[in-house]
Amino acid sequence: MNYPASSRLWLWWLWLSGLTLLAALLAEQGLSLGQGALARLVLLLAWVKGVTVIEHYMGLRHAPRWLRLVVHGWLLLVTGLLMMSFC
Amino acid sequence: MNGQSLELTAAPPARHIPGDLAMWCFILAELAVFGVFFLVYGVYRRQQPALFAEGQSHLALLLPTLNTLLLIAGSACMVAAVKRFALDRQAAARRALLLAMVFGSGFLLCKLYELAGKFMAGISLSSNDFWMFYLSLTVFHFLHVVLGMVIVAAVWWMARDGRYGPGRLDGVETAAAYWHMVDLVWLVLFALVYVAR
Repeated sequence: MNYPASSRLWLWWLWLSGLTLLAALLAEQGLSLGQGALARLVLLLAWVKGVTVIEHYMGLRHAPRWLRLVVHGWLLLVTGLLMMSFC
Repeated sequence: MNGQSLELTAAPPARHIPGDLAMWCFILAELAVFGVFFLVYGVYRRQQPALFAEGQSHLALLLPTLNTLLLIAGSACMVAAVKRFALDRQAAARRALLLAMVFGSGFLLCKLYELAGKFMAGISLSSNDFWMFYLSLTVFHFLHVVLGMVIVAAVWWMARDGRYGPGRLDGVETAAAYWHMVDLVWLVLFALVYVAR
């Protein structure tokens, strides 16, 4: 298995932490983005963070394709259906 | 000609399941359970948007945001631990495991504080549908973090005699995979229950 360089590992950590703070900030500001738009946006951010965790923390980039498909499929299905529930 | 082309083609990197396959079966089952839980929450929220919005208005964002940062930091430490074991840097790897447990303990303490506040305010599973989902989802996830801590502590303890190292990473990769699953589930839970309003 290929392990990420230390600098890259902490960059991913910064990226995930930054997206988390962005989601919290958007909710705190109570932005009026329209009916359910804020909810869909934060769920989209959750999907982006989830993809990062799956690929770079779980290391599924180097896993067999079936495992990668199942875990990514789970995340896409759950966040996608939840986003649709806010339409 | 064909043989020559084949010789010149670089071999693709070997595909590798990080950790034990049995643990991955468990992880996929856990993801399925949480996935159904999230989708049922979505259905109930769609049927009672005002009730769910009112419940969410009582949830402060500071603690759950801090908890998300703690779990993400713990996950980064687990990746660092696996990498250090792969390089046979035993002491540094065990330090990373210890740090992951510190972040995990921080998560559990913050979550206990948050839940205690809700119980003291008289909120229970039977208060209404929002609080039923809030309590069952967060407590169920809390128990997974506890199990993750136990697994990481066991790996940290067993690593004291150099059990993990280059080519002997199955145990630590298995623990890391479970920890990352707990992190992944929390990312969706945080967005859905606390932030998506």
